Amino acid sequence: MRRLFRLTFPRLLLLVSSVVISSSVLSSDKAIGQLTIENVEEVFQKENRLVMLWSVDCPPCYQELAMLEALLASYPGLPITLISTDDDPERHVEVEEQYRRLKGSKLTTWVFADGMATQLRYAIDKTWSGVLPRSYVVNEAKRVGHSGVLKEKDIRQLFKLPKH
Amino acid sequence: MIKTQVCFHRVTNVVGLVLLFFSVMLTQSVASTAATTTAVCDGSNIACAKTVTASVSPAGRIWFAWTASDYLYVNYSDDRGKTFSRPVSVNTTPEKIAAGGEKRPKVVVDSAGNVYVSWIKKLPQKWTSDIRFSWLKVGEDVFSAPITVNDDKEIAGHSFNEMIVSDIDEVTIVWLDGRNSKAAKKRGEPHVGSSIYWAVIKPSFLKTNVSVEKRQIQNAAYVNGNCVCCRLALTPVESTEGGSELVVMWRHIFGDNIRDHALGVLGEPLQRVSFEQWKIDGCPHHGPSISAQNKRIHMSWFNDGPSASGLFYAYTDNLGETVSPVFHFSKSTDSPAHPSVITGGDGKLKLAWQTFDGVQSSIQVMTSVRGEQWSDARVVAQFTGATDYPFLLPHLDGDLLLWHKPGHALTLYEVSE
Repeated sequence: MRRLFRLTFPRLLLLVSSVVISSSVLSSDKAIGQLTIENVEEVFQKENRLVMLWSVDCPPCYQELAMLEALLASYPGLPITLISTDDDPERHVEVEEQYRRLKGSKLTTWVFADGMATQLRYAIDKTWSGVLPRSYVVNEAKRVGHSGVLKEKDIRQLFKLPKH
Repeated sequence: MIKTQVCFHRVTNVVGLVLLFFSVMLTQSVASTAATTTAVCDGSNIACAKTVTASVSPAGRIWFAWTASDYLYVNYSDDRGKTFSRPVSVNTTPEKIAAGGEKRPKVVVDSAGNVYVSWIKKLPQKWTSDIRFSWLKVGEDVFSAPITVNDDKEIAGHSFNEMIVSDIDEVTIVWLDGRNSKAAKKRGEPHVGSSIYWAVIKPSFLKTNVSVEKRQIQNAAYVNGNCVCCRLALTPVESTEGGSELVVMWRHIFGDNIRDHALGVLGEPLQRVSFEQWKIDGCPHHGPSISAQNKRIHMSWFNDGPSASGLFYAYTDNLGETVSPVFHFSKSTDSPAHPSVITGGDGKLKLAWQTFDGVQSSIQVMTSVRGEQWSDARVVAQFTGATDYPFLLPHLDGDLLLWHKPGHALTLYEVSE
C-alpha cells in the first residue's frame, strides 16, 4: 500500500497541478468571447435572433441593458446576442461585470477583439457609423439595423411576448 | 493486484503528461501574447500610446501629449516630426487618465513658450471624472502640481475637454459637464443631455504667490441640452469690434432627440448650424470640427439623417445666423469619420477625414481658398490595422497630418501640396 502511495502520489500531484494550471489559464478567456472578423458571419447567421451592440462608454446603452436585465429575469430563453464594441482590453473588466448581471439560457455575449473596432463595424454593416446602441434582427438572411435605445415594447413585439 | 497497480500508474502517467503538455502549451501561448504586448509597450514610448494629441506653438515647435500607465507625458519636435525630445512626465502621482477616442489630453503653448496641459481624470464611479490642468513655465523642467478645473466638487461627469490659448496668452478650457444633470436628477426633475462649462486662465494665474493647491479656477456655465458623448470644437474668431472671441461648436439635442449641431460665442446665445435631422436616442460618438478664417467660420461634421448620411461642410460669416449651402463631401458607404478642418499656415483651408474600405483605412485631404469651392480629395495616408483619429496641424512651414497608429513609430505626414 505504501509502495502504491509512493508511486502514485507524484503522478497524482502532476495530474492535479496540470489541471490547476490549465483551468487558471482557461478561466481568463472563458468569461468573455472576443469577436473577430472570422466569426461575424456565424453570429449573424441565425434567423430571428436579436443582436444588440453596446459599449461601456455609452450611457444610453445602459438604459437598454437595464431593461434587458429585467426582461431576461422573466424570459430567460430570449434568443439574444450581446456584443460590446469595446476593443480596448482595459475596458473588459467593466464589460464582464455587465455580462455577469445578465442571466439568459440562450444569451450569448461577445466583445470586439483588441483594436478591431473599425474592421468589425464594417464587417457587420458598412453603413453603420458606430452610433450606439445599435441592434440587428436577421430576417431572411438580411441584417435589419436599428440605431438608438430599444424599448421593452420593441423586444416584446419582436419575440411575440405578452404586452406589459 | 500488481497488474492493476501497473495499469493505474500507466494511466495516471499518461493522463498527467498529456494534461501537463497542454497546460504548458496554454501557459506559453498566453504568456507570449502578454510578452509581445508589454515588451514593446513598456514605459513612456509614444509609439505605444492609444491616442496622441498635438499642437503647434507660435514658434513652430510641435508638442505632443499622450498617456502611459497612469502618467501623462509630453515631448516636442523642432524638425516636423523627424526627431523628438525626451518625454517629460506631467503628473508625479499616478492617476487614471482618459485617453480613448475624443477623451484625450490636450496640450497648448502660449507666445512666451509656457506649456499648458489639460486632461480627464477618471473617478471610480462610472462616467464620473474631473478636468485637470497643469503647466510648465518657460525655463523650468517640472510641470506644476495638477489642479482640478471643475469647481463643483461633485462626483459627476466632466469630460471632452478642449483647450485653446489666445494671442494675449489667456488659456480657455471648455468641457462637457454633468453637474446640472446630476442636480436635476436629485431634485427629481428631467434634464436633457449634458451641459457645457468653461473657464479662462489668465497669465497672472501662473505668477501669483498662492500655492498651486490653493489656486481656484472659476467656472462659467454656457448651455444645457447637448449630446453627452461627442467632442466639442473650439476656435478663436475675429470679432466685429476687431478683437477676438471664442466660438464653440457641438452636437446639440434639439426637440425630440434631433442631434444636430449648434454654434455660439462662449456666453452668447447658440445658433443651430446643421439641419440633417438625425433623430437618435443614443450616442452618435461623432463630434464636429471648426476653424476660423478672419470672421468666417468653417465647420465640418458627421450626421446620419433620414435623407443624407456622411460628412458635411459649411461656413458661416455671421456666427451661425446664416449658413452657406452644405457640401456633403463623403457618403456613409465610405465609412467616413472624424473630419478635421484647419486654416493652414498659408491661410488656406484643408479638410481631412478618415475612410475605411473593408481592408485599409485612408486619410483623404481636400483644399480650398475660402470654402466656396474645394479641390478633389486626395489620399495622403493609408494603413491596415488599428489607428487613432486624424488631426491636421496648421504650420507656417507647411501643414501636417497627425495620424497615429498604436504600436508603430509616430509619423507626421506632409499635406501641403
